[in-house]
Amino acid sequence: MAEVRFVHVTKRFGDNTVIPELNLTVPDKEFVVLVGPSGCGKTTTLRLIAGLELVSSGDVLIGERKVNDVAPKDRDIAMVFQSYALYPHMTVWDNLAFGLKLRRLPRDEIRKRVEDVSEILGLDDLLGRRPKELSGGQRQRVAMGRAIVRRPSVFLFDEPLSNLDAKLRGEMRREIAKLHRKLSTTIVYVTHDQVEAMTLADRVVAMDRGRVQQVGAPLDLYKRPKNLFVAGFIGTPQMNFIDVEVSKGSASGSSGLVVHADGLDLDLGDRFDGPTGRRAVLGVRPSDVIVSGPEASGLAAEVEVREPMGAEVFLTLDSSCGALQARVDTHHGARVADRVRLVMSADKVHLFDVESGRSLDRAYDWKDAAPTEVGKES
Amino acid sequence: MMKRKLATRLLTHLFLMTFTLATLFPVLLVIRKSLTPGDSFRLSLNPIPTEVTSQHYKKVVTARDFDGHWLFGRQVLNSLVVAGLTTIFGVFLAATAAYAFSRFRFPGQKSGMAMFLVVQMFPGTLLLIPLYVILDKLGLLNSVAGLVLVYSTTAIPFCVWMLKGYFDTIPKELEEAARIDGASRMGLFWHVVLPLSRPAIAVTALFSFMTAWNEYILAETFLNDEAAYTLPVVLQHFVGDKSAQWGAFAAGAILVSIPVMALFYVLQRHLVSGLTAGGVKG
Repeated sequence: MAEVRFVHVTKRFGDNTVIPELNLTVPDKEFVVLVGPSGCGKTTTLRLIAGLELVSSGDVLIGERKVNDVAPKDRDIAMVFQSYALYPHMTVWDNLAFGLKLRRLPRDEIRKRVEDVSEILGLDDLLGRRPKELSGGQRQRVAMGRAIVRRPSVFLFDEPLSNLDAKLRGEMRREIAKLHRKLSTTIVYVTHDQVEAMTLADRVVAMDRGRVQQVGAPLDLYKRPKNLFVAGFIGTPQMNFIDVEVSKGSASGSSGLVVHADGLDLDLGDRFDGPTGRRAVLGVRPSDVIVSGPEASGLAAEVEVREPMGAEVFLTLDSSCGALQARVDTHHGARVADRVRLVMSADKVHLFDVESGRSLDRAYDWKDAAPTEVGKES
Repeated sequence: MMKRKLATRLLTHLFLMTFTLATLFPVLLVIRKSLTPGDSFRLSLNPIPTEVTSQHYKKVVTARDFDGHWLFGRQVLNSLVVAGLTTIFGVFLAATAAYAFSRFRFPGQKSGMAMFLVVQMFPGTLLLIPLYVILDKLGLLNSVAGLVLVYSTTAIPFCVWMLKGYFDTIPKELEEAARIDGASRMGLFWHVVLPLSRPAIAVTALFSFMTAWNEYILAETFLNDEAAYTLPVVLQHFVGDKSAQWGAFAAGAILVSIPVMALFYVLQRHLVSGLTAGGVKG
């Protein structure tokens, strides 16, 4: 049981700076998911915890201990690899017991632990087999078993489900969630799949280009993305972005903002704060785009593509503000080539600064943030 | 359709049988020579012996020196010890060196591998004189240790290349997993890398063994005591300048090839996967 902390960590490979500055705390017993596109530094971050990479500067702490120079085996961590990395020449039993044998645990203890773990993960019938005789899902279980059996204080998962097919991935995802509840150990989990991030995490760390963009509960990131990157990365289909002009609202009196675009005027009320007379990016989730009949007042658009998904329908709409996506109920009447009006509610939209990409939501105070450190989280 | 398949198959087999025979034919001639009485070098292409005698084998096996000491046993032992030690040293040093070349970054890593390759380009005879001088200075002429040293140095570069190629195909994650599991560098080399490299180890071991077992020129140059001879030197002496005992030579040749054949037989399963190793990942 331990928290993991990064203090002013940087990581360079030669001249290539992968992580320019990382400050992050993974609280004890929490399930933290690092998510981001490939090359965003999430796997490097994980490997820095594991000790498979060493920091270029700054400190990594596990528990209260500074582990910068501690060997992987002495960090009290266990890792599940994307490729599983099972020892091909050993049986499942030996794969599970390998780490315990190296640590010179008494034989009875090893047997007991291996049996416990194989019971939890349903590996009983597979103990005598070698990895190549196992299916993908079974290998995945063994890889997890090998981590669990060691009873480390931190679990590290490196895209553990990306080699599985969709059905199995869902199954294993739920299994991992159950395991976390059972083990209540700190877990740091790396994925590029936002579904895994949203469903598994107590806390999501969205990363891009080596920097933390936002840290928070999954729904926080979804509902109040801190910048354009998070807004675009979290949520499927992707959030719609519309270039708008910002001006002072006249009706609401106070400091309310109004945004304008071709064929669109939206009074945002008090939620946002930012310089007027400038350009900004308005963000609307497809599920927050209300598709109404032509008699309603809103952004005029034409239905271009209609994709029925079963319970819902994705509509691609051509408007004077560019192509937009909407997500509507399966019984919605809009058909291809229909003329519709798109209504957006001011309390469901997001507004971002064009240059910095920062959210103009009043909930975020950027005054203290250094100009370059968009996603810094204390 | 079926007929064409059958015809292709027959043709393939006919082709293979022809070449197998062509390959085996000289060997059969040697066997015939070793079993035929007399040392005449008659040119006959019939590989089936017409008369059979074991006199040549007896002669080779029971040879004694002037003091009446049994030579053949001593010489077999020499060869086994030299080849065995060369294999053990060669494979051990090559494996550790190849692992370092494969996994670590250090100054001279690239040039080191290139040097190993360059060294392979010179024929052993070119080094005969310098090696003789070196062994003389070390006091290792006429000794097993001297030969083992020389053979190891010639075998190791090849073995390093061979093993490095194989180590490169072992996924890095396996070692990382072992490091997290608690293995030291040496531990993961021993418990993970080596067991996975068995095919490549088998090939390099066989190569080292054969190099040492078959080598003649260096052994002939460095050894001058009959009791210290290795088998190829013994063989050559049957057909020296003064006499040509072809029967004994043939019998000796057969006897000398038996251990290598036995090794091939034992290792053949590994050999196939070893020789294709590196070509296909996984």
